[in-house]
Amino acid sequence: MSDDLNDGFDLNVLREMFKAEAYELVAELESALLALDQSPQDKDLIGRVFRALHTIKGSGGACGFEDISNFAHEVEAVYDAIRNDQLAVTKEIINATLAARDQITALFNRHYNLGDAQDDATEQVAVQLRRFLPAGYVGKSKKPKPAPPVVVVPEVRMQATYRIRFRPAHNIFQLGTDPGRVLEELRGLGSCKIVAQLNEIPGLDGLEAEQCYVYWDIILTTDRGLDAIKDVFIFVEDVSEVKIEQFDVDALLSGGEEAQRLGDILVERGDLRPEDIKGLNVGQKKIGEVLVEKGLVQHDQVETALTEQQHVRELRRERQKTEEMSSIRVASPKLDKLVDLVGELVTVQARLSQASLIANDGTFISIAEEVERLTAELRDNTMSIRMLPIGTIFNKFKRVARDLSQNLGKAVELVMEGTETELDKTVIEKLHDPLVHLIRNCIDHGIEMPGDRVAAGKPRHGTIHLSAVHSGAHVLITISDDGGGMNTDSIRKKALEKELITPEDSLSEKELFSLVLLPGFSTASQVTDVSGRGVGMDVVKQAIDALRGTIDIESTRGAGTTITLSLPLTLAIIDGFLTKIGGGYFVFPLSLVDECVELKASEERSASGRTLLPVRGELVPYILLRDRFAVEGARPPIEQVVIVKVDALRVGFVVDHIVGGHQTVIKSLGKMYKGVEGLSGATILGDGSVALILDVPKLVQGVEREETGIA
Amino acid sequence: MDKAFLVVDDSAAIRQLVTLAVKGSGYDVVTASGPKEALSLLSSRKFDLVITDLNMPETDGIEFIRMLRGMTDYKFTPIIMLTTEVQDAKKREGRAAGASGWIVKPFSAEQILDVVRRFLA
Amino acid sequence: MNIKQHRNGDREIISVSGAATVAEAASLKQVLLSAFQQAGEVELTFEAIGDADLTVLQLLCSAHRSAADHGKKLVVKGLDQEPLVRLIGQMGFTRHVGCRETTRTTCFWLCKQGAH
Repeated sequence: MSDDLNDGFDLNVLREMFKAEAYELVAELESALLALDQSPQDKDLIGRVFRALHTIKGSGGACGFEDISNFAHEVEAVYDAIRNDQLAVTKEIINATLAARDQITALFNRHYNLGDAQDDATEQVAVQLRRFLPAGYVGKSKKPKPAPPVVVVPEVRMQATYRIRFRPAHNIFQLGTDPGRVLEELRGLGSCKIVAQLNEIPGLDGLEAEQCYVYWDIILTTDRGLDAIKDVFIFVEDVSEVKIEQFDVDALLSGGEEAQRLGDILVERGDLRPEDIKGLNVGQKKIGEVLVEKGLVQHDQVETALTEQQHVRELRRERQKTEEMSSIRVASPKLDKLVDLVGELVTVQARLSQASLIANDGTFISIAEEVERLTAELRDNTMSIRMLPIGTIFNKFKRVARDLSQNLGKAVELVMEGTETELDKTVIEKLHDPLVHLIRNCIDHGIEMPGDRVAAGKPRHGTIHLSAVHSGAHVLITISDDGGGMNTDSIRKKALEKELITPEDSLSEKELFSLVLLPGFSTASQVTDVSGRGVGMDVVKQAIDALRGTIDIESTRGAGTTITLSLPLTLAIIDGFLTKIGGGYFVFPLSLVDECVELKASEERSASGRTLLPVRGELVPYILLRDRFAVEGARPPIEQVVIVKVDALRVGFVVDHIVGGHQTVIKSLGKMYKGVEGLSGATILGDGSVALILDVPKLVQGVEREETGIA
Repeated sequence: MDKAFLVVDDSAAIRQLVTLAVKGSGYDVVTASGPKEALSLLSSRKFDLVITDLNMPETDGIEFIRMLRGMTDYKFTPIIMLTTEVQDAKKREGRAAGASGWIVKPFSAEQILDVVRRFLA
Repeated sequence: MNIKQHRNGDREIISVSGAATVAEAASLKQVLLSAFQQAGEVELTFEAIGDADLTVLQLLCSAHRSAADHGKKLVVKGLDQEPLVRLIGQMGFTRHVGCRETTRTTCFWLCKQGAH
């Protein structure tokens, strides 16, 4: 309520003014009741009683006398029933109503400080009156709705875009309503585009000039919510066709720079069938004109679609503008340079800390500690600059899912969670392709045709859940579908065909699932143009490996498949596990390290170049990193074996010594090491020496190849 | 010139409430205690909007709306009915007679203004 | 609404001023209808328009289509007055292309090139 209104509107003033009328109404009620007692059939008298009660209710309520309003409502209900011939006037009813009149007077007295009222007496009368009502009487059983509170707490809402169709009654003007006002109100809600549909306007001979033949298509982007839109139509909805549907503009906005094509909009709006634009030869003409000429769509529909196209374009521009305002664009190389520098700083700081401890000087040590704290903070901050919410790529998948499911005639809903989860920019960029592949797989191989789903007692719509969640230094991305699940029998059959396994191999379910990650494995019996191009899950695996992530597959026949990707938060820093061979340092990603065991020269057994180490009864293949990287020097009598686990496969790496955990800032390899397989980068240690970071998955693959090569 | 509207209700309290509610909002309010008084006021000037109660002793509000719609000057004028609750039958009756909208009693000053603004720019 | 009419050869010239709302729509329609019955060409000029609503736009559309269907011509002037420009925008009448082959470029609601 505005201030000037507050000044002008005082409930007490109104109450004082109502005072005289209130007692007049009570007197009128009494005299009408007494007359009714004499002629209980008199319709006019019944009407007088009803009206008196009605006004007491309405005006009392307007003055804020809620108790009176509610009570009068109860009494009124009885006379409403009488008016509608559902109840006959009796002595008891008259007596009870007279008692009610006394209560109303008492309640007025209380409000005007002229006396007191007993609330339980009021309630007693109300109970008594209710008994008169015929069983199941509902005509007036609803309590009057209290006026909604004037102060409305503003709610933070998400912006959404709606398509609205408004077709008012022909006689809308005769109802004192100008449809233009409704349109103006819609404009007030947000960014709004309105297209009048003129196709139903008749020629002059048939035109009733005071009737409305026009209807409207409206595209509205607002953060006020659906209720605010419905509210605009409150006085016209009973005489108009009003259709409001939200449409997913986010998918369009993230779907690349180019505007959505007109044909697609028409299809999406339901004006055109998808097959109508397939193979349509437009030539030099505009597609809209061709479609109108062919009679496939109406002129007005094209106009609406053009407007919608423009609206989405403007939304995109606006969004870009706000994004630009709230952020600064920085060229990626500058950011990379910053990360580099921070990396070096971390290294120098490690040296400083070491030096301070050696010098054993209190002041020096405390300075070094301070530098350590600041460096850690600087490092975390720098890393966070590179973090982006994963939603930036998730949104693109909506379009992928929609297009593909339409092509395949499947009904699929993509549900996303954790879109705000942040990941390193580089990781996000490299995740795009593998995730698209996984989602395509879900839709192509996972989700069944709608008919099959219904037959299996599932909802027609298949659902794909795409979620991201932080878990320590990793992000877990889960893609799960409620489709048919993976068929272990056909995987085994295929693996045998491709000679990936032998008939004797007994593999657990999990091991069978992980076979699909091997190169050249594709189970789709029919190669579709979607996901069965022979390049399959192995491509996904390679990409995830490159990100130092892992893939886990779970599947239940008939119920669906869940694929979980575990990815490091950043590529720039890893928790490393530092080891030493001869004079050189080597770093394992700590997340892959399973355990460490000793290897005595005497234990070593080598059969035809193949090295196996017994660890609690299990034979673990291992390789000598000294040989692998041609490190000079003799092997010490007792060596250490670092056993890593990559996709359920355990492999040992022999090193001289174990140094321990190490925060590793990854630097790219210099020219010298480029092309050396099995290394993914380098890092600088506290004393200035260089440590090489092992590309463990690559090294393990090498071992696998050797193994299968022998088998 | 200020937009003018006419309030027809047999309850003085309601008439006062409406008058107070729109005071200072730039509208000119004239009140009538029933259709008879209203009709005499209509002949003297043209109102931009009419608010009428439905339950009145002399003439039924719905009949009054019907009369208004029969007059050339009020064929397309917004007419708002005051009802006590969301009673669909009554609302439909009023609608059939040509009512443009409704306000449910009891109402607040804010609600009146809100509805009036919908019909009067 | 004030309507003035005169004839110039086969052209009926009508000029309209004042309000152009639903209350005036029926009489304006009658004027247009009889003008087309008598003349091959109708020129309608809006002068000093006050209140206007949907009905006048709807009427122009209807007349334009009828004229096109009967091989007659309707010329409308004065649509660039502020109240009418605002009304056309408010009602969402603006078009990219005319609705018929005959009105492709003569449609009254074509958005001005470069206006976007």
